[in-house]
Amino acid sequence: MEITELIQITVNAISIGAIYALLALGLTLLFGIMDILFFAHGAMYMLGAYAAYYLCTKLGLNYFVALPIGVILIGLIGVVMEKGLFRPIRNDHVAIIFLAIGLNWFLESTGFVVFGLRPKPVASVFTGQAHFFGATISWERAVVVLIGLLAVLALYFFLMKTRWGLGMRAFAEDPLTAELQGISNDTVCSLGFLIGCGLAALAGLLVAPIFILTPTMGSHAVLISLLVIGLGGLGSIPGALISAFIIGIIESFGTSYLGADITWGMIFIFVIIFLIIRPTGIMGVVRE
Amino acid sequence: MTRVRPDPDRQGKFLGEMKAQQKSRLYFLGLFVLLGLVPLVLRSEYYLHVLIAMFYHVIYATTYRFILRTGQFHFGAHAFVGIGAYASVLLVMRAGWSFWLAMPAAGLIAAFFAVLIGYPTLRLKGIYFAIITWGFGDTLRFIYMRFKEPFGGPLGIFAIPGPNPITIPGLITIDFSQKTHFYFLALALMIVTLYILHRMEQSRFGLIFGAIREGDRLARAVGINIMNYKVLAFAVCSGLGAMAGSFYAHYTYYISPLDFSVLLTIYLAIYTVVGGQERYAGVIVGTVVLMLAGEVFAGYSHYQLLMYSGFLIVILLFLPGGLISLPGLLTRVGSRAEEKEGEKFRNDPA
Amino acid sequence: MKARAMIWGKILMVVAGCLLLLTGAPAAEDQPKEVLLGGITALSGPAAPWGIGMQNTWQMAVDDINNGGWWWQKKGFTVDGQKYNWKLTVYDHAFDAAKAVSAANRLISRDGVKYIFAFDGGMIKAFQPISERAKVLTVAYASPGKDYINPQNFYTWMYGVDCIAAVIFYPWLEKNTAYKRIAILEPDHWTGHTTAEASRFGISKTQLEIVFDEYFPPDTTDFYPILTRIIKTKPDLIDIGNVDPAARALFVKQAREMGFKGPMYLITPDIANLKSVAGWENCEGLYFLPYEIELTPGQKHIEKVYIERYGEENWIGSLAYLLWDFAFWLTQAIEEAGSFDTTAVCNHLEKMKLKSVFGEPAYFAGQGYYGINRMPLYPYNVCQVQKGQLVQVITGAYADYLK
Repeated sequence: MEITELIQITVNAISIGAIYALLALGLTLLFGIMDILFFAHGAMYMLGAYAAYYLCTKLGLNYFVALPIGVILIGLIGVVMEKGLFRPIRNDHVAIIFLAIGLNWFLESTGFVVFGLRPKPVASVFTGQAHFFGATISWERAVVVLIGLLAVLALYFFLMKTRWGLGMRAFAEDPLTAELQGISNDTVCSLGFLIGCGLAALAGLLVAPIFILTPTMGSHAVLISLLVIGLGGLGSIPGALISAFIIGIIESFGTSYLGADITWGMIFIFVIIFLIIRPTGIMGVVRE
Repeated sequence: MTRVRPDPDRQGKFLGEMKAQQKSRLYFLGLFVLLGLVPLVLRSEYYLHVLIAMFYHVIYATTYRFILRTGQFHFGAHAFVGIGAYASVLLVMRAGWSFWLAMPAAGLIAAFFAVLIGYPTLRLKGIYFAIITWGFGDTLRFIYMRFKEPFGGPLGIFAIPGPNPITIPGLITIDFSQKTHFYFLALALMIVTLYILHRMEQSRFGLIFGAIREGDRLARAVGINIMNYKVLAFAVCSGLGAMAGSFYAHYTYYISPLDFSVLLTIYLAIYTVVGGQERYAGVIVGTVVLMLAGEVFAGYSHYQLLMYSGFLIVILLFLPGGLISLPGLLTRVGSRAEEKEGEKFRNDPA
Repeated sequence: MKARAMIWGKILMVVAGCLLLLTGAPAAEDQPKEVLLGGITALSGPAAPWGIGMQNTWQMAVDDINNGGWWWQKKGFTVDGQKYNWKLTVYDHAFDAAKAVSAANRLISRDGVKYIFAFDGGMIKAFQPISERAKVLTVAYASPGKDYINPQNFYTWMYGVDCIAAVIFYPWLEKNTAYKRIAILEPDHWTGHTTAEASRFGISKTQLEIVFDEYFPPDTTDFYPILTRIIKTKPDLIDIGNVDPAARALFVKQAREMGFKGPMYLITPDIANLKSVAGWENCEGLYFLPYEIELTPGQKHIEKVYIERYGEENWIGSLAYLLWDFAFWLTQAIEEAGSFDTTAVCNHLEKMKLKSVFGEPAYFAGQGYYGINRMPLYPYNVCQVQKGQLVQVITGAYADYLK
């Protein structure tokens, strides 16, 4: 009995960790490449979830058709935002943070007006549960975990192994030199927003059937992601992955053994103390 | 990478602008006198309430801006306001202190926490500091929630007594049974805070922060111990914000952990940017304009937030100097040099 | 000549005036004056589905009074020979005490409102010092707490809230089922805490055992870890009484996924939400409190009008019934007391025999528990989902301990 419970708690931890990793991925990418803390990530995630609602529930599209459509659509919204809003103030980092904050809450409150105040559900695609060693996980969660991990790996390989990724990393290192080497800063930024917002939308589309949609879901998600990427080391993708699972483990074990009301506070205290002692996070480097 | 950003405060040291400063000081004085006369004319408790709320929000916002001006992206103003409120309420209700002692004590306690948090973290740039201050705020909320004794738990603390009455024998008794009394207290608090911060900004202190902003290394090379100054500014501003928080608690009679969420800091950030953070008066203008505009959408918070964040976006894109730069821009619209200056402003790195 | 002209002029004016009085005055008297009725609730945030439902229900009740709908057979109401109509003004507090205080100030000092309907105890406690001092009659839709309903707060009244039904439900459960172990889970905010308190109070009247009693952060969406912990305690029934509408549907769904097959206990169920998120098959065995299948004529009327006006997908179920009556009682009390003075109205309300959509007799009680009669009592019904059908299991019970 004890051991099944342990397995169940571990499974829960993995599922939470994967969702958090997926959430934090786009945020940490944008920070790593462009040094932008893109608060509107939360709004993009929310829009992704609502895209699932409108494409699947309202238009009756197949979920797997809706998935790429939603991701590309919201990725493109990201590109438009980059070109229209962020490019003019690209070098003013404080203004960019404020702009992203403004955008997040602007889209959230617009969401209330457009999507309505009542929470919206999206029908499950995979029904039923998987059982192993006495632990239970619903199939839809298992799929999210799988796709989440795949997305992390894909992004990592994209950045490390492709020419585009190389260009982005060069830009992250020093935009001026990258420009001299023939890497267009504008293209890199647009690409960064396309991928970053696309990943946020992917997270939203994936969790839509598991959770319930409200316009505020984004702000909650972006604050959690902030905690994750802060702990992991800003801008580091492996760091975000590790810290997402650390937080998932604390949350799962803490909630199951100590209670939900204590756990969330413990996560905060843990992250704060960790950051005060080691401000670079698990993997990050401090940027001047 | 870092080019020197033109700083109106520093340029204001020229003689001609000194006069302008004196003039604006006079304007402020006149404004305060006018505000002092308001309760004689205005009998509606509602409008007094709006003004009182505006006053303590001006305190929050000016202290918030001052920390921003030291080059730190502060994301935990709500934490210190909360400390002020809870500390003062507990001192009054549990330890039996007078409000007049508890309020400054609450400020000191918050300043102490600011030093505690600030010392290890103020060396960190931007985002880390933001994450830590925000996390600190939420940790505190967690503590208020979980420890029913003495923080009241999620239900909060209610039936908070108002400030102790003051009697000037033979003249008047101020017993805080009317909004007017709170009005004058809030006004006085605001004026004192504005004065302190204004002096700090005008002093050597302000110059140093200009230097800090322009490049930490530069200031360090000149031999200024930045850390001490940053911590001091952080502590003073947090303390003043906490005193306003203490006022808030005794004014509303009820506080709960819900009141001190990150949304408060976001509102402050919006006030600051919309008003214009370059100039001291900007944040005040931002707070006043937005809070008045917010009353129009009073019943519907999401419309209010929609308007605020829409305002923020528009200002950031089209009026980087904030609302406060609007009259200047309008009068100097002919001068191309000024336009270029504005352009440079926009493209400069922080 | 001049003087005569002036006299004629005066006479003409007097005649014209008389004519005006004769023709105009009755018209003016017939024209009802508007009286403001205030509302403070959550129109944004996680409880917004409830808050908006409240606003809609209040508006419907006010319209019925103004237009003579339902049992209110006349248009508007009359005090001192003057006809009046209600006009509803609702402000949002978004679960922010400062906003609630602002809203109360706005209603009371600016708009001159004397009667306020409000949601959630925490928010009411925040503005209670203002409303009590201004002698504003406040009606609270919130869990019953002695901290705000007591003889010191003369002007604060309650809707007949449902969590007191725990005191009916648990003794019934003990008598009629073999369930022994109860798990209580509530969100970590004011309503959650006070609801849990009511459940604990109800269980304390029985031999049932509380095996789990905790709170979760209100914005939780993933209940797997909590459920792991709950299921470990092997509860027979999970009491998720006042969990927010969005979260409770997720909870039900995830509890079923984790293999919990037993019943759950919910109050003011948002059936539409449960059906679409959790799936109706997962709702099997759930107890809904209070939920009616055999609707009274009044409840039928409310349901019909609500769905016509605001749509099936926004129907809030029994919450609308709970929030319906007070507008009528208040209007009746004002009319019978012959004055808008809130002290007189309060005194009259205490003595009134109430007409309720839940059935009769209905009256204000609470002397025994709160020290003052501020909570309406009427018959409560409980139902359960059995084989996909709602079956009424308790009919017409009274929460007698409050007397």
